[in-house]
Amino acid sequence: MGLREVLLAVFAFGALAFALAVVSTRNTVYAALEFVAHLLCLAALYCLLDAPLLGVLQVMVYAGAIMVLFLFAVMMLDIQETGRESAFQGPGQVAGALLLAALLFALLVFGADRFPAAALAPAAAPGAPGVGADNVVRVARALFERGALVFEAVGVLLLTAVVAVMVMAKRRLEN
Amino acid sequence: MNLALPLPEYGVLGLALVVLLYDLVVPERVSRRALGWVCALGFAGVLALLLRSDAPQVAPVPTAFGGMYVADGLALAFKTLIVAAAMLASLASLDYLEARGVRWQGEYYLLLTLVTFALMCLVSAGDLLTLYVALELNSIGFYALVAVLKGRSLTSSEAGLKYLILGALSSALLLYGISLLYGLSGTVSLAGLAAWAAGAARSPALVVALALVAAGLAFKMSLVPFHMWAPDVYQAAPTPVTAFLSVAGKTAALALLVRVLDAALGGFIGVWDKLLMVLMAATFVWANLGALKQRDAKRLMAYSSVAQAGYLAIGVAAGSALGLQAALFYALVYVFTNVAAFQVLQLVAESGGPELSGLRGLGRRSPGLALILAAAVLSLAGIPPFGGFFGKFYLFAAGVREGIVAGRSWLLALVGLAVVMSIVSLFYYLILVKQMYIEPADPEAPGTGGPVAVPLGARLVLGVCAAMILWTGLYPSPILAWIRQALF
Amino acid sequence: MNPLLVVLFLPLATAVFNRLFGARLGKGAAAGLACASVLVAFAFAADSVLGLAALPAASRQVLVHVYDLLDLASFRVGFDLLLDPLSGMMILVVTGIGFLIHLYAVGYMHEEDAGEYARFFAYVNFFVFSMLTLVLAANFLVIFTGWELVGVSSYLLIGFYRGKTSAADAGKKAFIVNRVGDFGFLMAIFLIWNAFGSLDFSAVLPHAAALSPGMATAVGLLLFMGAAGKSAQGPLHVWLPDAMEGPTPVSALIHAATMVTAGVFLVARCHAIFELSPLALGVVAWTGALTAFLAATVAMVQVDIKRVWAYSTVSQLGYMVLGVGVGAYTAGLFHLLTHAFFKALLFLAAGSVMHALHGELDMRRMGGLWRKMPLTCATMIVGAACLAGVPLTSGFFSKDEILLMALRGPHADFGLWLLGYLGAACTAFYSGRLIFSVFFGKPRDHHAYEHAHESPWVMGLPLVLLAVGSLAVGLLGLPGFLTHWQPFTDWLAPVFADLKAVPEASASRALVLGLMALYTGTVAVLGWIAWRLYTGEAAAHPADGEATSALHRLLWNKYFFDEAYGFVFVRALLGYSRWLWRWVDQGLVDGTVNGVAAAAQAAGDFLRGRVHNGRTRQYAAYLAAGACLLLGLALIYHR
Repeated sequence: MGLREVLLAVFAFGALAFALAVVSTRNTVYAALEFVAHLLCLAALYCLLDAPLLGVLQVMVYAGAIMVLFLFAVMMLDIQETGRESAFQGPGQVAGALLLAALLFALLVFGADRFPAAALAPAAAPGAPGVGADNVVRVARALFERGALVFEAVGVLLLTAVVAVMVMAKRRLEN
Repeated sequence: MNLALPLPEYGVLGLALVVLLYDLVVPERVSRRALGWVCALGFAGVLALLLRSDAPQVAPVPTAFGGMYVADGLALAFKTLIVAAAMLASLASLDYLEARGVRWQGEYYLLLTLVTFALMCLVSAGDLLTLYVALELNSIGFYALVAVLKGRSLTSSEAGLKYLILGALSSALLLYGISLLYGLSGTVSLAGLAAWAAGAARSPALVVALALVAAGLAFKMSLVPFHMWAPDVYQAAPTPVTAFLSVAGKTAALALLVRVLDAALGGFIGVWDKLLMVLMAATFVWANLGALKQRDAKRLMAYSSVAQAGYLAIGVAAGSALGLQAALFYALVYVFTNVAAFQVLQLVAESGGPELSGLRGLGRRSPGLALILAAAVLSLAGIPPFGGFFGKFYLFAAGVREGIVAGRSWLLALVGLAVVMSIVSLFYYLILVKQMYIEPADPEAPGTGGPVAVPLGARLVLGVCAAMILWTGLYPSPILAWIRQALF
Repeated sequence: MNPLLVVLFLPLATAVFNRLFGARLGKGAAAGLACASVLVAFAFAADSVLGLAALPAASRQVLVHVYDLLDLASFRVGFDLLLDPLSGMMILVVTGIGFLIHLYAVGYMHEEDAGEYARFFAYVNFFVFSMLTLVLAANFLVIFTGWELVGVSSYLLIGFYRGKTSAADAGKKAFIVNRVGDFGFLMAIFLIWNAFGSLDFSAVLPHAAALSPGMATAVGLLLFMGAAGKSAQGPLHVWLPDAMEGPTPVSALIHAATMVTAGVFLVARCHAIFELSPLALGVVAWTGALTAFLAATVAMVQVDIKRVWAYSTVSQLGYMVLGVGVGAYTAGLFHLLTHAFFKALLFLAAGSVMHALHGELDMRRMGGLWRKMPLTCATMIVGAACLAGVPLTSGFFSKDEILLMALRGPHADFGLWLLGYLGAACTAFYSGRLIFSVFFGKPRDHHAYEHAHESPWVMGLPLVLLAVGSLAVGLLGLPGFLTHWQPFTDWLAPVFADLKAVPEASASRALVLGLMALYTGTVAVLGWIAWRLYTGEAAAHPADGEATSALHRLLWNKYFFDEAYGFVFVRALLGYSRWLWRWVDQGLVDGTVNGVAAAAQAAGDFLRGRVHNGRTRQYAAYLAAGACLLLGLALIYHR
């Protein structure tokens, strides 16, 4: 097992741990910071998987811009802590939830574990291995040629999300 | 690249811009009711465009954006249904929102157009990426539409949140399935997947991927046990949204099932058909029995819609050309039938409340409304001379044929179960009829005295739907010709 | 334009018109329009049939293509009508008897207000249209459409009286039991389509021999399942007695003379398929014989006069089914024809009695009515004589023919004959019992007796016409040894030309005469017993629920069929549904949203984000469990 594998494992578990922390922390500001950490772990994973551009974009756009905006909003709206009560009603539910999660996880791992190695080959076959500036060009081409529609759709998605958030969350301001 | 190909989508986006600008320019104190008419007219224009365009009849169907957008007949047909549903939903919304003094009317119509755009992209998706983005886009729009009664109805915002959380969970399942598929095949293009599926070997990873994709799509289609959101959301959402979600959302989900399972992963039909059939069997039993004891009209219709989704899926499980035609025809009937039913329930609920007992005496108070609702539910139950009868007849016939020709005895058994459960469904559909015609009106109950007021928008909706219910039942030949041309 | 189109669509047009505008027209115009449309339809039907009769026997088939219903690539079905001797006979029965019943209803329904009156005639006309669609169908899709439409109109008419819950429940029961039968019919249609690639009778029935024996049996049994539902054959008969909740003209038209015979018609129409499978025919015959016998025994203890006729109808339908089941299609159809006359008559006469006594139907409160309503009494006696099989009446000839065929026909069996014979004996007894209890002896309820009166002429005229018809129609099918003039058999001969030799010859004249003597003697003896039992001061009627013996209790409770169904199906279904509702939907998942009050109460909880989040978590758990289930299944199945 080389350094790469070790790092992959470290960042993967890091991403998982921070994600869990996000949903279990009650303080919204802490949760946001944990989310930043989670996104950074993902960025590291991208770099390790030979997609440095994606990693850089991840840091710039998500961990940087969006999260700053998010923290800003959280602090401005002065959202303190969410409910204090335990999320679960009784130990039975906790056990049930854990059991179910474990089962789902086991099934997924069982499937993915038997991933046929041969199937991986064709993925990298067309085109040259992407490194450096070439990677940027390929991403740009994908975005503005084939992916133009999707790119636009994502734009519409953001607009929709903004409107949706306004409808769903503008409770305090309304009163 | 043919940039003009997605003309209908551009039209709907343009409509969204008009709505946005109107909302921006017109002073706040002016009612946004006119936006409903603007949307209805805009959708009518797009609908005319769609109906005028001919489905491609030769093998390489036109695509744009390197195959990420497909303009085949399937997309055309489903888009027609979706835009028609959007038009009806706008008409149904005008007075509904106005009567409730909903604050977010501008946003409401904007979301309606954006969701329609998303659904149109969804049925034209030639690529898992387009598909996923469109799916998320439509889901986010629907979350907000469901919650738009916020401040007037507590359950509305609660239902929106519930839908959001569960939708996110199902998206995660679907996304994991998609990434496994990409890992296995090295492509996200549906055409590429189809080519790969023709020769690929089965592996546990593939089986897991298919199961996850099936689970994610089943959520959109609301097949048991992924239907849990449906009764709550249908009941709590504004009725026009419920109608739109139940018809357009389900129609798009059906298109998705056809595209992903039948077209792209058809090579693995032996793997996924069992999964789908297990879900369908559960759907038939659970939804039809669950509906029997409902007291709220919209909740009853929610269970009914879940059951109808199961029937639609028969066409997908059959996987034959006839099955697809039947499913598309049934979807068409279902769109108009369900919209009609919800429209009547919406009008009746204004005075009689949401409970089934609000329908009492409707046969005397408003014979026209009662007749339309009776026709709609009998059509859903598959009774002639309404469209639902032919729809079910085709679907079941297609299932039996495929079952016998391909020796798929499971499919035969499933169709048998579907027929039996559609008999059970008659029990609860007749509850509605009985309330309207046989139960005497309670003289004490509020608002059960005179006839139910029917505003112009609702009149148009009911007129179109009633005509379609009868047309599909009495003279389905031209509609079938249109469908056959679309699916060539 | 083809006259058949007038026959078919005129009743539909008046139905729509009456439903929309009838209330504003007033009673006279609405009823006049409805009656006139059926009369005109009858005239055109007669014209069509005469035109058919003018053709040479072998080519008596007229196909009318109205328009294309479906046009799929591999599969084309039109709205096609077929006029042949079989459907010709049926359209005459439907429009002819239908007209008389319309006429009767003009008087019978007179107390309803104008709106209800118009609604009634609209529904009845719609029924006539549906029934005509059924019998004129030239392919399986159209016949199934008609089949369902008669179910719908039957549902509408049984539940006609608004606010009467028992009627609504009866309508629902009828509709749903019929749908159970339809399940079989629909599956049979799918199998036929799959085997022949077409649904046209002309493409299926002449080539039926192409079916494999197993497939022929499957199709036959499934078809018969549909037939049994519509024709109220055990165990799917439970809906018919309850259907008597509807207005009496409806009972006469739909639940005695026409709709319920659709099953017999279907078997006769598809005889080419049934003939391929001895098993399917055997099932048909035995079901018919058992139903004929058992329903007759139940009819012996009923006290509600309409229910007696209802069970009697089930029993007589059993005879028809027995007839077609032993391959004696002509005999079965002849009984269909005679029964249409005399049973319509009996129901209308019962309605006349009910009308006179202000809704009273319990024969224990009647008696001696012949003095008050001589016309009703006389016509009902004619009907009952036909039903009981008094010699020389139409019922005597038709039932006799069926029993002879059960003993000597191509698929004869002594057991079938014995059941039929015992049923006939019971029939004689209950017919006599009803007539004697209602019209003879001393009045048992003097108040009701004093107020009784004869019905108006619009009700009396149909009774007279039907009584004459009941007697005369027997002449069309006199026994073969009496005369060679056999109009009924000759008329239907082209339809059944594909069958092998007519087996009349196998019965000697001595046997036929002996059997006739046996029936005559039986009818006389049982009629006499009934006379002795039910005309005296203390007629032998036990009070409600007071059973004199275990046998009586069994019969009184109609062999506990309803209870068994109630227990097995309805209770189990509702129980499951209730469980689902209470424990899963209400308790476990979410019931709070069911009511505004509960939602308001939960609102506080929601804002604190506790209770409702908990429920959403439950949904999420279901989702995850569903995913696990799918994954598990997939991995197990495709290891």
